[in-house]
Amino acid sequence: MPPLDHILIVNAILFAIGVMGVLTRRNAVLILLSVELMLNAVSLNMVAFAVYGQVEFGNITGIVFAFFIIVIAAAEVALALGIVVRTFRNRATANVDEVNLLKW
Amino acid sequence: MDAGEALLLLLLIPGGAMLLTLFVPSRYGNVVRVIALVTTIATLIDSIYIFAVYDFAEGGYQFDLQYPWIENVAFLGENGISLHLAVDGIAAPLVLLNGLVGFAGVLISWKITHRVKDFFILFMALFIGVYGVYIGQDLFFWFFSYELAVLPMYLLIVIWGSTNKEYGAMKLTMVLVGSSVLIFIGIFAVFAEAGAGTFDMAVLRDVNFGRSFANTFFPFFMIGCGILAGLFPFHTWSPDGHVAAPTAVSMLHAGVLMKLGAFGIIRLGMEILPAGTDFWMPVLLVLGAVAAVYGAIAAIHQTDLKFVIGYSSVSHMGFVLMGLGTMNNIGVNGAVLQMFSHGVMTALFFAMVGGLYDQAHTRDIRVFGGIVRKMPLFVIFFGIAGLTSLGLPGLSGFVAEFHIFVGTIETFPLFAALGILSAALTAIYVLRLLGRAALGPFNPRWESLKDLSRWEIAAAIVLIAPIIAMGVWPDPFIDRISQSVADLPQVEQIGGLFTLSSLTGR
Amino acid sequence: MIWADHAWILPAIPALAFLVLFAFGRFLPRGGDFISVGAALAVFVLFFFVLESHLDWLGAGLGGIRNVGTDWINFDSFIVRLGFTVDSIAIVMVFVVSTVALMVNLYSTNYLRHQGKPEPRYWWYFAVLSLFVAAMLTLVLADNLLLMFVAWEGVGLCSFLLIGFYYERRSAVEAAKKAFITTRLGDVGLFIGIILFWRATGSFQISDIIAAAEAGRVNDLPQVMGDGYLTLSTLMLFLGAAGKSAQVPFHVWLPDAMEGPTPVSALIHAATMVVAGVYLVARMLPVFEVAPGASNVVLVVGLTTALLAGIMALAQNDIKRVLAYSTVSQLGFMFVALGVGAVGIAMFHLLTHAFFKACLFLGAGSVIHMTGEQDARKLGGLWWRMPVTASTFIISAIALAGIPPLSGFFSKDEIFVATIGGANTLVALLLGVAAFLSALYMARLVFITFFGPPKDLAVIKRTREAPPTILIPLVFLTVLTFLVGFLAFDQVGAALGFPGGIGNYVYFPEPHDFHFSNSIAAVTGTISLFGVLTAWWFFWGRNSHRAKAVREFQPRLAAAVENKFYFDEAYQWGIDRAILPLARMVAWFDRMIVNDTGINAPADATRYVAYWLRYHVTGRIPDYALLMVIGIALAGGLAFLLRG
Repeated sequence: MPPLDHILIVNAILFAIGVMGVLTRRNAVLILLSVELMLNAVSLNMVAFAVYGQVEFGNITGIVFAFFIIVIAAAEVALALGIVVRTFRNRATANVDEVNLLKW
Repeated sequence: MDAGEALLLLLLIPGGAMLLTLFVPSRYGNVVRVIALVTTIATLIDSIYIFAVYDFAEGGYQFDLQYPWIENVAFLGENGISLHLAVDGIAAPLVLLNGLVGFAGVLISWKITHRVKDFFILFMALFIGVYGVYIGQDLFFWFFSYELAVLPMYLLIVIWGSTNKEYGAMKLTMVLVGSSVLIFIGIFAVFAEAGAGTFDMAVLRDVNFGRSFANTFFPFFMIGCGILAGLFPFHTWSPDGHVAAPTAVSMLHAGVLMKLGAFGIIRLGMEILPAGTDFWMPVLLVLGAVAAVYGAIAAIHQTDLKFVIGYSSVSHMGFVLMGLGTMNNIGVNGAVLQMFSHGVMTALFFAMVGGLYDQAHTRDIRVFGGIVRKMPLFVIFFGIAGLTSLGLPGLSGFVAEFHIFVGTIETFPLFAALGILSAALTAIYVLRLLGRAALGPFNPRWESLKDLSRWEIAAAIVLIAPIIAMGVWPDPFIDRISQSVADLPQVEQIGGLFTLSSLTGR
Repeated sequence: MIWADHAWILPAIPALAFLVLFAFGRFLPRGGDFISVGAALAVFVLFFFVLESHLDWLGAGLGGIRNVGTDWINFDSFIVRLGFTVDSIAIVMVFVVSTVALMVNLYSTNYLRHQGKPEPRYWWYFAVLSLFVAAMLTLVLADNLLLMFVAWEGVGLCSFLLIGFYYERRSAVEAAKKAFITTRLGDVGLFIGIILFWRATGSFQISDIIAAAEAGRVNDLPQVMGDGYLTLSTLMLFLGAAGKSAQVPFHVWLPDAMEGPTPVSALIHAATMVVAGVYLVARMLPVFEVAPGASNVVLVVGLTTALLAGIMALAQNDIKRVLAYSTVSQLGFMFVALGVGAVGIAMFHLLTHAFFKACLFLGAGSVIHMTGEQDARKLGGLWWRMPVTASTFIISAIALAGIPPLSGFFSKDEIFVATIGGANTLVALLLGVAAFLSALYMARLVFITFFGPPKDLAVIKRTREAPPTILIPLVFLTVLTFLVGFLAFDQVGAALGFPGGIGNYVYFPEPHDFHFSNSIAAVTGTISLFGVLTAWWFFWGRNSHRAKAVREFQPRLAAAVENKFYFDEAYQWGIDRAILPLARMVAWFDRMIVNDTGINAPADATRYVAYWLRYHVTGRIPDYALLMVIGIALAGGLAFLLRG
């Protein structure tokens, strides 16, 4: 097995890619994808800690959290896609730069 | 004797009425009104019962009732947070006051037609909150009630109010919520310092807080509660709030809500942190005296009836703060008497002003003239309130004020003189108001005015009865109050100390 | 039944009448006036029982003061009593109050009617009149200062209500307001005085306070002010007395109070309420005597008032206003008597003054009622139209002028005797001037009202003599005016049960025998006659050109007198330029500084900051996300730095 550090670095890179995606992408769907990337990075982290952190396999808290995240991510995507679709219907665009009603 | 259930009923009856009202379709306005009326009659009877049964010979806290809610978890110990109710001789008259003013308020609100159901639900919330403060013996519950009494005001003013209501309501809410932040900090400081893991006042009263702690945190209670009592210079929410509020809300606002502040100073400040009184009470006295004179002078200039009464409230609450500041039995007694007296008196004032405003749609005293011809009862009732306010003997205001002045002269003679002067200034604005608006040549513009309605007359009688009762025979009040005032720590006993051999054979 | 022990019944009767009238008055036939008259009659009759039992005590040598009553407020030995006491001062007052009240009640039943029809609010008038009698009797019978203060304010309220009885008139409302507020300012002093005394003695009982003062125990406990404390407290009491008794500079309210119905002026503003100040000082005189300087203040204020008001009365043309200034002036005489320590004499003058002044007012009321005119310049030659009114009026005026053998002569003469004995000659001299003035203005009033050619024939034509209900009180009071003067003689006193005459009956600190000095009596009598002659010289019908000549000789002085030395203007200036601007300033300060700066400014500042801060809310999701990331990075960095 690779050492924990390596896995964490991979996760960090994955997370950073997600963040960059969220920050730079303009298409709402791609931003959602990037968010998924971030979530997955976190889930992976959880699993990694669950596996490496404990000698016996008694503690599965991290894994449970990962499942939670997956479930929530699914719900969240459903919700977010709904919003994106509505926005697209109303404004004929999925470009978040053009959806700037939520301000002062 | 200790029938704490009577106290619980004070909360349950209006609470139940609120729930019941929720399920009444809003088109049945009269059903809602009748529910409110029956509720306030029931609470009034209960209040009278409590006032009457309170055993002043025994004194102290009676009707004790305690249900633990959360205890022995985390930082909370035995009776951590509980529903603890009790009244002492100071709270008993105020409970009665709330019963009276609430009942009169419902009578006055009979004429409300806009969103009747919502009005009475909020009114009841306010009503419960006030009761909760007077009878609450647990800081957590006390603070909850305190907020419950303040917050419905916002909606009541914004929806049913008049004249610049958004501003008035927002200012009132912001200032009062701001002040309760101070109380909140004070409560937690006291909780932490006591280390008893309980919010129960009965326990906290017995904790001996150090002088430096008390000196630091006393002002949190004094100013936090004081703001609600119209402490100078944080008083301006009060006149503006009065002007904006609908009649019944003005009545409760000036009649009982402002008393919560002064009551809070007694309950939280003087009872829990007595060590802080030495330093801070003179400050309170000075601020009270300033408010008394300042409010009276400002009232002279006002032309809006409600502003006049609003500033007169500031002035009279200044007397209350003065009385508390004396820290002797006579002065504090007078302060509590003044709370009651001012409560019924201002409620009467506002009830009457409401009766006029609803017809005339103006409160500018300059445009009225000689309306006694059309509204004799209005003028008589308003006149009684005015005479009470200027401290005419035979009415409750005099009894209260003279206790306060006698108490003040013991330690701060100059401020007693100031206070008496401000009572004379009261005569100026009250008579100016009566002379301008009620008497003099009749202004034909008001040909269409009608005298008070049945409901308003009933409300006025409910309020005048205690004014006269207390003015003529204050004993029932003083018996109850003086016992509990004597129990307050740090309150000095004076009176008759230097009496020569009296010819009365005593 | 020992009536003097149950003196509380006296105020209780009219109080009950008030309650009945207040509740049911407007439904009763005749507005319930018979209830009020009946109550006054009952008080009048009961007074004699009280008097008798009090004289019995005196005869038995039981001393003067008896306290009966109950506790009104009593906790922690803070005691306020609802106590009544009957002593000789109170007896004199009760006599005055009950007699004049009965007469005025009777008189009003007719006065308040026009062509037999009662005026509007007829019942209300009698209700308040009863309340007044109750409060006034409480005032004089109270055994402690606080109860006295309660009644003191009560009579003030009744005065307010009755002055403002014709409240459709703006001037009546203003006068009522002025009366209440002016006396109220004096009452501030009174109240401060009362609680200052309480502070030093722990009691409101008058007897306790007097005992403490005589024992030298009225001082502030830390002994900061020493005797100054006693003087201060005493002068505070005097402030209240001066306000109620319309002494300079508080005198301005009394002439304006003439806006009320005339019987009210007779009862309240001549005979009873305005002498409450005299009564208070008389009651507390032992304290005034002990307090250094206090008596002199009383003397100086009384003398100033007697002179100033006497001069002011000269230039008034309204019958009632002349009488009002004359009342002020006579009250000044009483205070002079008190200032030299002669209680008995002050009370004697109070007694005689009450009767002849009430008679004068009721006579003036009769004139006003029958002619509809109260400007003396428009009257004249009335005596043959209203002979009874005119003769009673003239007799009372002679009494007021101080011409023997009417009562005013005796009491005024007594004041002179006391002044010469107790103060210096200058005071006596100035008082002589005041006495001269009182003869002068009364004669002037009589001359231009009742004699000389009628100024307005229409008025004279419609005038006829008043009906009996008005005349009976006039005659009764005139008879009293004749008689009470003789109370000063000890033979008369002995016959009635108080040997030594009234000066010996009302006494403090020692009995005052009636010093009838022929030379002084001759002088005072001459002064009065001279005053009348002077009035004749200047004001008698065809001589009035002389008065005009004087006016033209010194126009500015004449204007000053006619404008009452500009007191009202000065006060008005003070109100307009000082009090109202102060109120405006405070109101402005409250709005602009306290509210708009103190309360609104934090709110505005919050809004201002938010106004700029909101620009970071661009509405673009990536911007939010970037801020979030930066925030998390900062938080993480901070946590990293602080991890140790």
